[in-house]
Amino acid sequence: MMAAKSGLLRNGFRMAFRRLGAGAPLLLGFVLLGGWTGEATAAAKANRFPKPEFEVRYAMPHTTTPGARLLFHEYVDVAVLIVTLMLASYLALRARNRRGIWLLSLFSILYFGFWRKGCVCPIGSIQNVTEALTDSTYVIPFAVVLFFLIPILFTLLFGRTFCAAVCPLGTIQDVFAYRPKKIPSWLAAPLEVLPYMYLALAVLFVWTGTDYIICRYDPFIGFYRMDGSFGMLITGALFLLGGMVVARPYCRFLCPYGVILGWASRVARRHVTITPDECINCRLCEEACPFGAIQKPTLEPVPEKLEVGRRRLILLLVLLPVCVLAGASAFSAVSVPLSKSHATVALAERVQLEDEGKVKDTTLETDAFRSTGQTKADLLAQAQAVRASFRTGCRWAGGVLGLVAGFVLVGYSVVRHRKEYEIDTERCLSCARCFEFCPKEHEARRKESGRVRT
Amino acid sequence: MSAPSVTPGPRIWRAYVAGAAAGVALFTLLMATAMLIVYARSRLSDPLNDPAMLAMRAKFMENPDDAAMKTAIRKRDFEVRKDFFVAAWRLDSGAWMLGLASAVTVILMGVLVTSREPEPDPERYAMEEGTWTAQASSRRGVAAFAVTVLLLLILAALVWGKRTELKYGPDSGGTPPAAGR
Repeated sequence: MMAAKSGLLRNGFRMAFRRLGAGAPLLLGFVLLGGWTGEATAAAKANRFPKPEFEVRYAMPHTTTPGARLLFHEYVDVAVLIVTLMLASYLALRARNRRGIWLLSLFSILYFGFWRKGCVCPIGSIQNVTEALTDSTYVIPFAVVLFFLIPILFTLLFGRTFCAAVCPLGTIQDVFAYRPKKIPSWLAAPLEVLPYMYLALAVLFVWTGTDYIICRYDPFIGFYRMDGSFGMLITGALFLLGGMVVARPYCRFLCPYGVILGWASRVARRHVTITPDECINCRLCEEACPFGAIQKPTLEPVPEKLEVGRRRLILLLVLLPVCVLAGASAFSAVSVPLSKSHATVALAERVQLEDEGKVKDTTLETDAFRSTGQTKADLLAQAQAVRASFRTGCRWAGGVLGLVAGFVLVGYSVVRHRKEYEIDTERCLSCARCFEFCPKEHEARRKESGRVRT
Repeated sequence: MSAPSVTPGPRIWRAYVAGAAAGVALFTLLMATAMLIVYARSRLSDPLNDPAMLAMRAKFMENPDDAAMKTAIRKRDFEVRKDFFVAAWRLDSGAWMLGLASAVTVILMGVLVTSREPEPDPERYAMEEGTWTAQASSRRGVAAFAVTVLLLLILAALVWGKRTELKYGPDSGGTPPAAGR
């Protein structure tokens, strides 16, 4: 009966299209265009007494944070987050329903994206949590803590179901994944190190009190808020267009929250599986995953290759401290240029240059500083302190990144023997695409529908 | 003899979706072009620096009792302000329509593209790299990337690492230039 109903629905849409014709959207488009021009005349009449004292040279700053909301609404958002995560986990693990995941993704785009303007999102909450841990004067809203922790908790229980259908940044990219191509491993592997670098930079910039770079350089927030700088809107459009051939590029190669979820997913209590039953190695799911998260079974390696591999692994483990030192040194060497992104350091350097006569003009910022009455000595002391924190932070960030690079190399040197097709629990986004490719899945569905009929 | 089917086949369905997608895509293109034109024109026309109005103001300053000139200035001022706000309204509403039309275009294209999924064909990928080869190329890729990043950081430090010496104290030297740009 359900199959008959859905068939009727499909036929209904087809009949509607037949009647309307494909020209209807074109006609509607021209009507809208004409209406837009006509309405402009009405708007002109409405503006017969326009606002006085406007300044065309003034550029309104683009919004980086949404308007204030009631506390009650924030907790409603937390409740919606929990419900959507529960639904996503159920749809991915229990119901094994790709269509349900897709529909939930659309809801997430509309609610967490367009309605809530993409803020607060768990990805940006990394910065709030970092600031709360490093700055004793900062009071983090409880809702933000929940937004940070709840997806991690669900990932520990069920895998990356947050990424599947809840994250507004991921789901909007998923809509565009039409014909994803497989990226060669020599390119995918280094790109997967970028999220660690982005996470390190984000933490560094928050720790030094510079900026929330995850929010500032969010490529999709401009679409959700219908406002943003031209550069970021173009970047977002490029991400979405690129997402047509490289599935979810931001999630796989930039998302700093994905680093945390990936670690959590590795130790998840339960996880999505390709097959609901035992894998029969039919190979049909081999190319099912657009994110490269399906691991093929391996043959037994020959003893000579094992020996070479063992030596390589020992060498890499010995070189780990070298990687840490190299990373720390290289990053601390760029601490000075990085520190210039801090407003205090930039101001202090500019004031210094102006006082030494190396630059002719003053800037608005230096004029404002001189009119505040603050002494130059105070400003320079603050700038020195920021530079010192950047030096320390860069050493730590570089050391950690060196360690990460070393461990990634170690990971690619470890031989794991697999007898069947398995999911890479770190990479798998629980999108449920692979289910359709599994004959065991279809068999299970047929049995289920047969059981329902009887 | 069975009754003919009243439902169009999959090919006709795809044709309709393709037509709709083309229509909406054309609308999107037209809207984007129109908005670009409006944006360019609004950038070029500054209501406060309208040449005609500036000329009228200069004439008015020579003869402040000219009531007709005063009326003309007010009329011109109203027109340029009206144009400015109309352009702003158009850009705002046009952005909404462009966004919606783009979304509909994308969804229709997605329906079109995914309505014909290719059958899985494992034999086609029989010559693809095995797991060990993939791991080896991944290692080389990560190592090359790490070395590249290190070299870039060193280069950045050499090029941009020039520090402005932050001296502070009464003898920090020099006097600030006159305030203002």
